[in-house]
Amino acid sequence: MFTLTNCLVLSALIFAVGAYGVIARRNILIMLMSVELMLNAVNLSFIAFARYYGSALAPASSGTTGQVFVLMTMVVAAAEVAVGLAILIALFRGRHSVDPGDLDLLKG
Amino acid sequence: MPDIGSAELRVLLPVLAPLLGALAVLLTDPYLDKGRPKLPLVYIALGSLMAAWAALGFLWGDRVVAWSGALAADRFGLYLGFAIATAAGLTVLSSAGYARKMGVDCGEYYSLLLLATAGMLLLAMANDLLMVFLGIETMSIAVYCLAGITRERPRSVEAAMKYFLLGAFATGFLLYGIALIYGATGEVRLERIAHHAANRPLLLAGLGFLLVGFGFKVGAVPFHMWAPDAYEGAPAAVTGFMAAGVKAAGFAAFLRVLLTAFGGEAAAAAWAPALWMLAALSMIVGTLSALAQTNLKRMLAWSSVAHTGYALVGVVGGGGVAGNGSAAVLFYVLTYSVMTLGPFLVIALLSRAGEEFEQIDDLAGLARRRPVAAAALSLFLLSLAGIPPTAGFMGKLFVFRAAIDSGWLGLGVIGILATLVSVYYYLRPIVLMYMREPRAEFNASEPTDWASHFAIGVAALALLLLGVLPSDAIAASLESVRGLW
Repeated sequence: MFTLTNCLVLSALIFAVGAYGVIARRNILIMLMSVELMLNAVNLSFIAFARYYGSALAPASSGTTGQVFVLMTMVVAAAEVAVGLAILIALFRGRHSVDPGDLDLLKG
Repeated sequence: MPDIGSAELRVLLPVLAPLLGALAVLLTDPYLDKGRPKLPLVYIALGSLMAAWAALGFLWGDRVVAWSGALAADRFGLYLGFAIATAAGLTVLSSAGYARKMGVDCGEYYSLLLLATAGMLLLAMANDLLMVFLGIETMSIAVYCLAGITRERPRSVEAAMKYFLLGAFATGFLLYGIALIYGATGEVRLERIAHHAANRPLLLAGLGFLLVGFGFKVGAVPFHMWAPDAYEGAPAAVTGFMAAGVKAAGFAAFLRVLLTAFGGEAAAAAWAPALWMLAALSMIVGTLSALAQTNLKRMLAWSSVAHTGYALVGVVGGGGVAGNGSAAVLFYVLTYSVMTLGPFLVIALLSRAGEEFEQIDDLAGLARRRPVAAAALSLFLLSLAGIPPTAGFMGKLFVFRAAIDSGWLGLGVIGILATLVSVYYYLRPIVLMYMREPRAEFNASEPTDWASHFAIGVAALALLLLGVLPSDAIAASLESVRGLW
């Protein structure tokens, strides 16, 4: 069930869903959530690879690197979403909209 | 368990200095009078950047690898580290007056500036993909905040939002690329990735995602959409810092990853055509879009997209380990970061309280009212256009020659044509400044902002020096690239 290939396919699918959400959805909050989805999909890949390299199947055992990477990614993602929401609040105060289509002051 | 010795701490010094400076700024801010100019914060920021400069100079020499190979203090990283620390220092000098005018003379502003600088310096010395990721994010998250720091201006907040959304999207791609590379090799250290055969699909897919992520961060076409909006909306001093520092740090990591981890012939054959397209598109689209702009900051944003293309010409035409292309990129990014920062320093100087000086038409007759500012702006624009005896000319010459020497004739020709077209939009503001009657009022009555003048003077002097006597800087760039292995 949880083979390396299955995990990687699942991760790629979730990543694609996230990327589609950022491109297609017209709500900045949902776009933020989609970005988080992308990062978490990558975390899944990292964990799957870490498990693979940590096991006896792989020639060199360096499974911890992937796990450390996931921890770092989670910290960065948290910082990123905090900043993103803060910017969104500043934006919402000015124009009472979360539609990226309304971001039209800068053009050309 | 490797123990933390003096080598570890020495290598970390250039990153620690601005980091501690940022903390000191935040701790000092509450004790300062609200209504008065917050000069102590400027002094702390400048002091910590000078400490970073000194640390970079102290490390200049043989390659030192520390933290189990995560960080490398070699000439390659230090070379661009100097550019980054200088750009940050000039930005702080110009901010002393500018931040007050824009109502952001606060601890957050200076501490974010220093945190971004710490991230950039980390990025310049990053020797594994984890450090590359952390450096990029430390830098980017701080710069997103800086872009929107004048939060009363709707355009500033909009710029921050657009920059943030596309930047975070790009981070996803970058991270996925790193994950695939880790999956294919089991390694994140750059020189160990190089030992693996580059023809495996998983590794190539990872490299592709990595290129997309880096393409966004350095603003190469077709991943440039954020750049014009972010540059136009962000406050001028921050825009200059973004254009100079973010790009220098981005190129440092980009080049190091490509040369160290994917420098083998098979791998280079995979990324060279992709970067060829990015370089050609960036030069063409950047130059043509800049022609139509009426806003000076937006024009400079498109010009920075074109300049990303010129630098990428050097990356493509690197000619591997032996070629001069990579050294040409280093020299180009050094000169570019000074000459692109310059115009923004002038814009920051000319801006009035709460209002940016950004329309090209407002420049009419500037030479009559503000002769020094007009002369400096002209010098910066001439250098961006690549007209001798400025540094911009030497940079372009070096990059195009390296590309043509290693057989990328087409790219060199596109670059030269783009440069010729670009002369039009760089000369237009100069014509307006010197040959038209003044239209707008300039704030000549305000007290002279000496710090800002000093920053502009340093940038102008550096451009002239690098243009007339480039041999030392070029020799250092050649040594820097040799020292990578």
